Amino acid sequence: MVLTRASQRMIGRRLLQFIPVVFAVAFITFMLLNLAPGDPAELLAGEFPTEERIQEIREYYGFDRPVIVQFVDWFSSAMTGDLSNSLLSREPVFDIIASRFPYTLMMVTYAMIIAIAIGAPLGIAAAARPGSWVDSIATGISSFGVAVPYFWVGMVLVAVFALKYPIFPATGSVPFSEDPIGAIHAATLPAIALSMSGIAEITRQLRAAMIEVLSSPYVRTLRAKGLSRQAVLFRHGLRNVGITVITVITLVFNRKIGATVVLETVFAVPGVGSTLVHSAVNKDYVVVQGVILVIALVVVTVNLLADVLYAIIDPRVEAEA
Amino acid sequence: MSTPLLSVKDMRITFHVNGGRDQLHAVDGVSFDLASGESLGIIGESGSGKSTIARAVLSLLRITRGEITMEGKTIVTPQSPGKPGNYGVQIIFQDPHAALNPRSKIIRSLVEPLEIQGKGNASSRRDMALEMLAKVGINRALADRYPHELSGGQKQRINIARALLLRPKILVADEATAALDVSIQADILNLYKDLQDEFGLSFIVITHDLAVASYVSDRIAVMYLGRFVELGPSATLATKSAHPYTRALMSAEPEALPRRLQKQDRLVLRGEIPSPVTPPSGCRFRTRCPIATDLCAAEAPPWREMSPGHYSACHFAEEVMAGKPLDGSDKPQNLESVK
Amino acid sequence: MSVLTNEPPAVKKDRVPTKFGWLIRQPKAVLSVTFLTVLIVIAILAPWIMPYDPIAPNFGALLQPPMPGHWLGTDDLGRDVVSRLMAGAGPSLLSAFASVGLAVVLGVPFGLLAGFMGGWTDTIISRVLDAMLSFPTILFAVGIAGILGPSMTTGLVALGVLFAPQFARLVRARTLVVRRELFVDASRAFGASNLRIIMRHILPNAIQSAIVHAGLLLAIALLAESSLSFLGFGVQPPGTSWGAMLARAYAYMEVNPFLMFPPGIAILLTALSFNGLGETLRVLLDPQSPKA
Ligand SMILES: Nc1ncnc2c1ncn2[C@@H]1O[C@H](COP(=O)(O)OP(=O)(O)O)[C@@H](O)[C@H]1O
Ligand code: SF4
Ligand SMILES: [Mg+2]
Repeated sequence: MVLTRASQRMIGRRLLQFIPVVFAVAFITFMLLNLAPGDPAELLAGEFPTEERIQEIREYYGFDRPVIVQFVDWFSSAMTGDLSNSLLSREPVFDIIASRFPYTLMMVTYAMIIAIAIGAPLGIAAAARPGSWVDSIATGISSFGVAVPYFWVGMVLVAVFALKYPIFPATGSVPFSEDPIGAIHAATLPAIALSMSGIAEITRQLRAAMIEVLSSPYVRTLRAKGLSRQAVLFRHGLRNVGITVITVITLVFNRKIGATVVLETVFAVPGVGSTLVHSAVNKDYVVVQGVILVIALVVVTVNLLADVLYAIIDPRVEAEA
Repeated sequence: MSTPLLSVKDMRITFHVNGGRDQLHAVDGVSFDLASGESLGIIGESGSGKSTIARAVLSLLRITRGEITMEGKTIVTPQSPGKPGNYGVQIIFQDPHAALNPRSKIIRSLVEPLEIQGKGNASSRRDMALEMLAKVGINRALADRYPHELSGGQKQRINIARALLLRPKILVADEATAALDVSIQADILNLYKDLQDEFGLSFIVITHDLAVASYVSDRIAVMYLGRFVELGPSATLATKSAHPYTRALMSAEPEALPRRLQKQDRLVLRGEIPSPVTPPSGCRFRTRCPIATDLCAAEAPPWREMSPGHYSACHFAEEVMAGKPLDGSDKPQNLESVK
Repeated sequence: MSVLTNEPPAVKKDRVPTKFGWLIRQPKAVLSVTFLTVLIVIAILAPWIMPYDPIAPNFGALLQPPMPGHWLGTDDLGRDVVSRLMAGAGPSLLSAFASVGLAVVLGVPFGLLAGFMGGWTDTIISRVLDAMLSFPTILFAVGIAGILGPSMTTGLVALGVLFAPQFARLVRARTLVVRRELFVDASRAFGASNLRIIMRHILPNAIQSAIVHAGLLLAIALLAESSLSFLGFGVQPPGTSWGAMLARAYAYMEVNPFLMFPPGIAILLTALSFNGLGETLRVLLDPQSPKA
């Protein structure tokens, strides 16, 4: 595909912004640990530290050096994939995250698919006939979806479809690479719970964007020329809401990756979310730091990709600031 | 001659445009004086730099070169920008609605200048504001309304009252009647004259409307692409203009002229005003001037005094003043051949 | 001054009655506001109107189903669920309001500053906002709670800090527009300081979108607080919140699944009402939207 000059410029500008944002993300994550009251070494040493243990940690992590030096050091190792070792298991943090991430990704992807599969037709149907009963249902579902506590939905689903009627397992998960069918089966309930706000958001935004396009003078002219409602809806409506689709999918992805923290705990999925909770409870700060950094970088990257897609679809889109 | 009230000397104002890559001299070497009680009109097409002069005189933007003095005292230089509001100059903007905060009641907008300058207390400020409203012909009952509840003419009177509350010596009106209906325009212009008598105000009336300028101004400056091209008493400019651009503006608006001149050459300005980022060499008007010659492209015409107080920047000022036809009928050379 | 004409006053619009009239004809708005008002009253009066002690265990009545006296049954320690719902309302609502309030207080000034100053100030603030918006809320809050020690305050401060960039962005965008308005120049011509211009002219014209967003964000904050408390990083025992109640219900799900419904539905209804409130504010504050 050949990109226009405007698209190239915008992609270039976004790439340039990417670097300081990554840097800022890393800095904020790094400073988290320094937020803690007192000596980080004492914190890291756990509940009942000995003086030697504290000293050992202090030297190992170099807490006696200036903060900036520590940050540069930490950042440069982090960028090479060295996120230091867990305080509990001594395993490299990178390996821990790498082994857990597939479960999280599987759950998020599954939930996204559900959200799009339900939200997109609902939003389009609602936009086709605003004010109809379909529209009322769509509006109702999207109000419910953003307001309902998704982890509570998860609990209800377990109570009904795992405990009362054992169709799905209540907890646990199966690696997708070993048993794809089993993995999907096990991930169904958490994915449904996770898809709640996504269904709502996709329905709502797609409906709004479609209505806007369909009421534009251009589309009204097409209708006046005798094109059928269906033809206009699918050929012109959908093509012109591309930007909205990317925006909402990015947004939903960003939210879901945060929501996995709770759902992985409810369903005992060994993903990064439950790892974070486990590490936070056990004061394994190095893992906490690593998980936050990695997830934030995933989000930053997804946002960058979305911006690149915007530029390809519609070069007129100017990045704000 | 006594010291002028306001004096602008060789002022240049530069904007950085196109992401800082280009320089735009919106005002490029403008000088003028304003006497006490005088009314100076500045006319010119949109984009010629009139508002930029107004903003500079108010210290709403920094000047790049030159200086502004008030009663002989230097108040603005490129190094030390002036302090708006404390040397006796106020401004009325073109859009009466946009100049009022939509979320403030009229009275709140009115007392703002007094608050800022620390004049009086809350109740005396309110009294001063209501008194001034009466002077500009606005019922005090409107003071507790919001701007959207008033008409354009009412809002412009309120803007005038607000500017007068600080008792300025000079009032700059930047196209202050352009957005109003013609009948209301006349009311506002008459209000200027009343205020001039009552407060001894001096005016700088900026407009692209020749009729407005000649109605209220003692002298008129004609501006083109950041420079003054002609300056002189209103009557002189109307009858004995020494610049083709002024003549062109006049013929575009014959109603503004004395009847005997109305049938003079109908000169229509061709083309667009060139970009101020890359102004033409020599005389800036030459790309649209019907009598331009090679000299005009090679050399910028000097600013010459044609008769006492009447200045022009044209190589052929004498001929133009003597009534040279501007349709190119006396000469084959015209715009197309100049390039 | 005979030349002066007194133009007839423009049509005076009575906006307030119109808006109010519109409001009471909106069932969603009325329901939301009524529900929230009742809830806030209950939360405040809880100590006096709770039928039972929400904290003291009663081992004689563990995990009772709904019955007269205990209309929603009892929990795993025999405590009356109605009383616990009332006790939990305060912390749940307070967390939502406080975190959103904190976000406004932190975010709005930065948005004003970035939008008003422009240049490098804006670039730096904007990049930091981008970075902060990249941290998923719950994830980051769990991290902070883990490091600072879990408590209701830690949780709501973490949420407030994370929500702040949303307000900063909204207000920045509006400020970029408002600062070019003519009334700002007018004020400057009278000698107004930057601070005065920001407080008197920019803020009142830039805050509306933030207010609307605050209404909608309350729902998200409530859900976020519930998640944190559910995970044990929010309100700590003996205090309670609806999220904490859900955590206990989760533990006893196989024995008494009913326990998850009262707090879950309380959260759902409250979040729905917050959204209704946000929608209402949007219509009231947006001159564009139809009110007839
Ligand atoms: N803030 C600014 N930044 C860049 N260019 C400007 C700015 N203000 C005015 N200009 C440019 O300066 C020139 C003169 O503008 P202005 O003084 O508004 O003209 P006028 O009031 O005569 O219509 C125009 O070319 C305009 O585009
Ligand atoms: S100097 Fe030349 S181009 Fe300029 S106005 Fe005079 S005749 Fe025209
Ligand atoms: Mg102008």
